[in-house]
Amino acid sequence: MADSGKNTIKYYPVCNGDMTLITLADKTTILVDCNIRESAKGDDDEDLFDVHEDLLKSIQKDKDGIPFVDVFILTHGDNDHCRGYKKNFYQGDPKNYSSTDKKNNLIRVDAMWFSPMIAEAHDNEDERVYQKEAERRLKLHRNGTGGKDDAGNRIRIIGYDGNEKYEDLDDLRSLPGDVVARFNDKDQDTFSIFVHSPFKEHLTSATKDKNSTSIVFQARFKEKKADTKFITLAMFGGDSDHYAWDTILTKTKKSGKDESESALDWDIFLSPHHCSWSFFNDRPYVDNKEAKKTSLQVLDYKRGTSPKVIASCKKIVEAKPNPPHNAAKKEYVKKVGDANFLNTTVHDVKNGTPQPIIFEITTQGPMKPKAAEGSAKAVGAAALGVVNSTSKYGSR
Amino acid sequence: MAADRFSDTLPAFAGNIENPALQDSLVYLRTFLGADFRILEWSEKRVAVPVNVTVDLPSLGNYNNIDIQPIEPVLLVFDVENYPVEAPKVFTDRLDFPKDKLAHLYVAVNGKPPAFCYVRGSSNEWYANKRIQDLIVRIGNWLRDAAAGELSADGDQFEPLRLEGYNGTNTYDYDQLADIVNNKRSFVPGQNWTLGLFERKDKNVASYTLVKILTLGNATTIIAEFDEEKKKDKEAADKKRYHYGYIIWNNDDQTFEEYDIALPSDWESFKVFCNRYKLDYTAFEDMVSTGDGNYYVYFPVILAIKRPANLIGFSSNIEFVNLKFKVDTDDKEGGKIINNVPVLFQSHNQPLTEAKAMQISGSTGNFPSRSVVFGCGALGSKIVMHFGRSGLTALTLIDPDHISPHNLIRHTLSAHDIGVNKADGVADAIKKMFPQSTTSKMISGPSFKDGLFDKPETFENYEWVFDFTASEAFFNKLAVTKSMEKSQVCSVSISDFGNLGIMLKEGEARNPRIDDLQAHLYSQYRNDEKIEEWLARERAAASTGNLTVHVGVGCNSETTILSDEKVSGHAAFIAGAIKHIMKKDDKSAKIVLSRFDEGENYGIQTQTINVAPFDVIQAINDPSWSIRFKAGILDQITVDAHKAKRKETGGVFVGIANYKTKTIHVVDLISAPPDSRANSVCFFRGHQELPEQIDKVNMGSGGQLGYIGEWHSHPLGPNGLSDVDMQSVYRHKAEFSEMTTPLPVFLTVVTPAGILPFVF
Repeated sequence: MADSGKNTIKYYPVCNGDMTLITLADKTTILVDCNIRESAKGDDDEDLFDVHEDLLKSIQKDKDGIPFVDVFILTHGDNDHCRGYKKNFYQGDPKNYSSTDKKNNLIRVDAMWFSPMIAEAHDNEDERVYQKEAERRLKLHRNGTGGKDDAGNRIRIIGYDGNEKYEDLDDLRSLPGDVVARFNDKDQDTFSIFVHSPFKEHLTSATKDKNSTSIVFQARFKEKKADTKFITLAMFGGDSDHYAWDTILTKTKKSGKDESESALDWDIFLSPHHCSWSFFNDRPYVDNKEAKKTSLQVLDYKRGTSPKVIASCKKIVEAKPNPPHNAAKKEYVKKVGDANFLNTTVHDVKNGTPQPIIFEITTQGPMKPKAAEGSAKAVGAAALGVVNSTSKYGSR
Repeated sequence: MAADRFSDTLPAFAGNIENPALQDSLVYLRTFLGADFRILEWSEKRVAVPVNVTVDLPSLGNYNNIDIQPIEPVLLVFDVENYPVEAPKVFTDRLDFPKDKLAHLYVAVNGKPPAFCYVRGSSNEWYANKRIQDLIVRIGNWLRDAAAGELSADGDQFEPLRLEGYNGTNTYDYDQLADIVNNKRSFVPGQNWTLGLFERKDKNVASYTLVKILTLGNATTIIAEFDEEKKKDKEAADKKRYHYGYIIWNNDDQTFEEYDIALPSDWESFKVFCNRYKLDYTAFEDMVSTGDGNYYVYFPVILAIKRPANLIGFSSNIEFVNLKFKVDTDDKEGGKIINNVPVLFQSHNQPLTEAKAMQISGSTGNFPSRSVVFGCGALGSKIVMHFGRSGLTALTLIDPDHISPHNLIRHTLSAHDIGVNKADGVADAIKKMFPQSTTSKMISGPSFKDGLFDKPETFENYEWVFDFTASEAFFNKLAVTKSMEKSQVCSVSISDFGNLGIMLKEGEARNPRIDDLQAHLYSQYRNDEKIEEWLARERAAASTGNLTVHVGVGCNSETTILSDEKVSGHAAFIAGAIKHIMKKDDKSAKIVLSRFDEGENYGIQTQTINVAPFDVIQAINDPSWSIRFKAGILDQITVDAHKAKRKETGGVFVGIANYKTKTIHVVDLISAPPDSRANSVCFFRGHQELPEQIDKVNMGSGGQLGYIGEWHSHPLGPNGLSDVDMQSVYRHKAEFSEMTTPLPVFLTVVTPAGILPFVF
């Protein structure tokens, strides 16, 4: 149970997929991707953790009781990063949010972060809807429509344009190398995001695919505004591959921001593409067994005594690779040790259901939240299974 | 390599445990620990169980590199008889535990390792609702916090040492001593120590209270006083047991971060302790051994340690270690202490100060530098006590009355105050709460001296003027007093048979004024049924001769029926409302109401009405009369006049006139009746439906408001009253003069030169 007055990062167990909630001490929430699956069984037959319910409990409601996330960052449009967007998040003019929407617990996205790359190739319904919503918002800003700056209409463009051009909206844009410290129209003193990617060359490259054009960013926490030291740095890589990281490494070092902004350092590294070998080299692994030096260098920017690698994927086994890859895991473990390699599916399982991995940001870096204390008094609640099911008694 | 464990020195427990609760917990621990489970003998009545606690360590390494390990061995120590009423104590089992770097450890005793202070407050109370497994979780979290540098829950402040097993207390104001240390106010200039006169109030308990700090200025008097008491027979009832005590500090600004959980127990360890914190004790030793005048063998010694940050709960970074020395004649020789005399430690008691009262009551302050209170009756005394208990004591209390037996039903004072002046009694009660306050600010008395009330300098220093008198006369006097323009004036009273508390708080520069607020409140009958009903009840009561309608029934009368809890309810709410306004430094005017409801259920409601400043104009013909228009009225008649273009127009004012204050309040307008006629030079105010409208005002406001005058426009001038106007004035005057309370004739003209009121 995390301390409510603390900054936290929560990695949801969503099998092969990404969904992370950053919650700031002032209750600002930043959701990175979503993979909200329907109930019942998942890919690995594990009992699903109800991410939608947990998300609703973890975010704020506005004065009208409408649940909202301050910022939604979609790293890229693959299904396992935006699944459930259409069904669980509100789209359209925030003024038209209805009582039915509220009853359906639709979450309003106050500000969305959008990579023009999504416009290039949407191939699933959730991505298409995200794109449509982004276009709706962009149009408001392009036309200077009243209410364009209302919660639910805000938008930030991340990275360069592809075929669709948004030059007229450059004031809404953050490029690789930029630091963003304003979220949902509120400046943050001790939290910021360093945008690493996508780069222009990825967008225009002939071999581009969504994975090499993922938004890559570093979430940065300080203790006090004036500090130069970061108390926690968490890297989010989407599905970026080793080509993207090669570019990130080169460009960041060239700009000097590896030093001046500690832009490559990390305490938590969300392993790209669900612990895929693609972070280390081309696939298939059998043909490219050597990890690229650049990728290993990226990992060497780890800090502290126990940096963490998160593998947001199903249980990692030798067989059936394509992600996750056991070979990738081995590379990570070489860098951080087995105890600091955390797989969302197996790290913390309660009654067969994987639980989110939560970090509380302390001045000494990310830490597991304090353990929850019980008490000597206990009562059963109405939601108990026993209360909601028949109990049979008798001699026969 | 496993470090040494304290538990290695403990023998296995060989006895039987009959306490069933302890048996239960031990069974749990046996399951939890498996083969590692052992019961050791801690002391005669206590057993210890070693437990390895898993600790989550921070990702970037431990705070200050403190040596907390992923597995921390601890000892759970159970009282064999009193468990679980007495919570287990938990000690580190590591002999190399980094104890001097951590707060929240108890001072170690008898060669045992230090215990964790794992809850704020009483661990027994905490454990009453917890299980042994919760305790283990708690210890794991404690160690996690220690590793993360988050043990001290109060940000960057420094945790003072935890004391247990102390020998008596020493009571002094922390701030007073910290000030001495911070400003190096030594008795002999340039030294690092000073002397205090301490009293031991209970001859059987070695607890001290600081009476005075010695200075070169007061030393002679204090020494004489000391010697006087010394001469008295030791059994004499009035003998004061005085001790000279020492405060020793380091004149450098060097700070020390380390905790020392081993306090000195004798002269030798005292010297080691002093050396560790760079405290020079030579002058102290010299004083003690060459004769400091103490005639009791015990005396207090207070060591000041400078910490890197402010101490939690205190205003400075000075931590005081309170010791008690025992030095007999044989123990000293040639300017030296020659025997290894015993040294005991004491705990500190902070006398109640205003600052502490503020802190404990959660009052964030912004209190006025001085305020005056008129009226310390039932309501006033209770509000003032709330102020006092919040640390707001910069008060001058005025009340001419004395406590009578029947006052005890509702007054804050009690039977032994009968006959005491009410203001003095309340002031005294508050002064006694802060006995050591060096800046007692309470002043009290029956009245201001003659003439002072009207002198501007009298109120210059009063940021707030409170009227709790429930006196209509005083209310009127307050309304028109010119000497308190800079003060915030606030009048509080109780009405509606005790069910309605009313606070009228003026705006900036006394606008709106208390009487404006009162008129405004009456005018609220139009929007608020409850106010209309209240005014109707007041009117009915007045007509049967029970009460006057004036807001503020006197509750000092023996015949007034009103319960103490109702007065307290109003007083508590209003005191809170006033403090809230002070905190926000809100200069705007408001009416604050608290209302008891004795319907089917007993209840209380509150309400705040914000009031904009009134427009104030002196009567053109007689400036002794002021016309005070509720905000918006003048705008409205200006607009109406403008709309009529070149034609004259007009209407009727609703309000109230007060001869005592020579004020006319206008709170509402009735537009020209439909049968009115007008042209560019004439306005005939009709009367169709006018009586009905006035009656409605009159009934709704319980007779507090009614027709008060009229207005009309002169779009083309003249800028004054015309002959025609004057004829009406005479006609009105003739009629009004015949009334029991004559109404002034009040006529306003809206002219090209402005709005011009006239009163006859």
